[in-house]
Amino acid sequence: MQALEVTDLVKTFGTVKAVDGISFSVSQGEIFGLIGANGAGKTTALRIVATLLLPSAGEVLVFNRDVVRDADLVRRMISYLAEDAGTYRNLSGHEYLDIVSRLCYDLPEQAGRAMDRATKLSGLGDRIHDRMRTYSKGMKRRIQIARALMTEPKLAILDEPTYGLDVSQSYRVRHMIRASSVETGLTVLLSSHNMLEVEYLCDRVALVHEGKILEQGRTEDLVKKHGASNLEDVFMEVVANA
Amino acid sequence: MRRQLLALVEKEVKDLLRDPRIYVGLAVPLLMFPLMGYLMEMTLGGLADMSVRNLPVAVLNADEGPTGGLLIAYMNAAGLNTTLTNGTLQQAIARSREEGLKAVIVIPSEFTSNLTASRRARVDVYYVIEKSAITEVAASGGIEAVLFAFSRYLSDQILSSASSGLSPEFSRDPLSVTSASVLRGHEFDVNPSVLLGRLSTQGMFVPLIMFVLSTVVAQVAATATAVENEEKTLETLLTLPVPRFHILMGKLAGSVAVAVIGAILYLIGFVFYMGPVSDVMPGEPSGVSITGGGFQPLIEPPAEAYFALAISLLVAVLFTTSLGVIIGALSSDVRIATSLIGVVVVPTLVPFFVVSIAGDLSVLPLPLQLLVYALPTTYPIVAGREILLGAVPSELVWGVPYSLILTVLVILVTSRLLSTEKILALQHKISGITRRTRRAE
Repeated sequence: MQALEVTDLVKTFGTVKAVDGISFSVSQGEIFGLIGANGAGKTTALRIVATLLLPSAGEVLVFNRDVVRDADLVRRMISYLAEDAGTYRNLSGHEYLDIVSRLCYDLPEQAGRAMDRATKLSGLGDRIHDRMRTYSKGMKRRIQIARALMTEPKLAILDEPTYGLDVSQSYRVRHMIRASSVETGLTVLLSSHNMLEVEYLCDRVALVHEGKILEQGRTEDLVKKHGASNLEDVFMEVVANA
Repeated sequence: MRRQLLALVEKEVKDLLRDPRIYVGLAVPLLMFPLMGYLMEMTLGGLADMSVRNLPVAVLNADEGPTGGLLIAYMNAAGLNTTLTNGTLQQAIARSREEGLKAVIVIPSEFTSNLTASRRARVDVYYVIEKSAITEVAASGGIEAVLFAFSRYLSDQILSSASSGLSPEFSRDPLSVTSASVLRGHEFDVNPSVLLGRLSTQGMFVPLIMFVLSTVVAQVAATATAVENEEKTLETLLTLPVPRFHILMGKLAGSVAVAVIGAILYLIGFVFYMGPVSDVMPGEPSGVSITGGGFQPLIEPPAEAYFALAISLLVAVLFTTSLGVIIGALSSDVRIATSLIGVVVVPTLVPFFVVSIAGDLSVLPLPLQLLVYALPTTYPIVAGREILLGAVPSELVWGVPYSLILTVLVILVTSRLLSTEKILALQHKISGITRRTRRAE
């Protein structure tokens, strides 16, 4: 069973076609990246998978469950991190994670275990008890990553996971994602502008341009196929020829 | 399920109560009302002092007989601070302006002779007004009261000397009139205007709660929801395995809890405001209290009347909270929510003004009655007024179930609206309208 199957997905906003018939699948435990410029349709595709938007056409299955018909079931299997996800300024990081754990689990023991995991993942130490309005951008992002991974979802949908982070914070977040995938068999669908990040993290990638997937495959295969030195060169060449 | 709801309510209450902007909103009434009360006390207290004590006046006494002097002595005994002056009226006025005297009282030369000849004697009073303050008006009341009392004193003297054997009181007022009002079978020793005055004063209590609660709760709910949109936290919340209905109920409960705290603070402030004001209000007629901010029914209602009032108030507050959440959900940022809130919430406050002005809704034309009865905020206001008369209004029998159904419908529509797909589409349209409106301005 595939963790995620996207077939001929289309999304239009009025006369604008944001996603134009894309298809891809992601295996269980795989990290799959969508690469593209701003406005390419990556975020729209991720939002459809996350049950936030309805597709105009096509089908999206998460572990064989349709994101439209079985949205409630899908939400039990996924976690979503928006590109510019904010925080509740007046809650502490700990309070926020605690509330999310109680929303996701009925049993206090399960919620407690999720909290322990989140506290460790965030790496904020005692600052986790401070109000989030005092956090730096990096600290807020770490809280959000911890929130996205604390419930050990089957599929994590991460839109620009290192958005706004400096080099060391980005490095740490990438390691968090990779480690979660290895340790828990987490499947990840992510989008990114950062080719280095994608090369490090993703098992396979899809190059998205103007709502369409131009190329997809294993990173090293794409580099070899285009005789390029890295994924960035591949992307530039593919887009130039589109 | 209950655990999820509690977590959502906790999130709302903590996030709202820790917001400094909310504190400002909650603290303002606590300071504003007592300050208003203090200012009113100062003004009204000043009026009371001015009317009886040390009111400085100039007296231009041209009377050729002794009664003019008697009047001056009477005025001094009554508390007026008289200054005798000579010359013309214009000179007396000029002096009064210089020395801050409040009036020039002119006693003409034929004052005594007119009285002895059984003709009405004249006193001319020229009020000297330099400021537009209300205290200036008080001067006229004080002076006229003293002159009226002197007139009665003279009348007593004249009637006594007439040796008719009748008492001056009887000669002046042979008819003694007492008034009582029978309100729905209950007798009160006051005339209807006093009774209705009391109803108007006391009847403001529930509409005021309704007004404050509706405004605060809608604003809190709209802002809280708009902030979630602005910060994209609603997007995260909508991807969690939580029913939309719970998210909405959490927001409603949180906003209502904060609004109730706000309303209590408003009421505390209001009571502090009413305290100083009622202290300086004129004395009350016996049998009924017309002052004070408390809610004291004229006729004790049955216990179920209070229950009906509480239910109708709760339903109305839930209704306005739902409207607030809809506005917040449709606003991509707090600025849009703030500009939209008045458009939607003000019409729901129509009953507050209509009932305050009309008193009884049955006197309104039918279309206006239908409009007012269509709003759930009407019923607690009507209930609050009827409770003062010891009754449960019959409108509540159908009004409360109707309000409940309408509120549930609004909540269901709001919960269906809580999907990013619909919100984004509507937010896009509203943002466009708001932008066009601002450009047009």
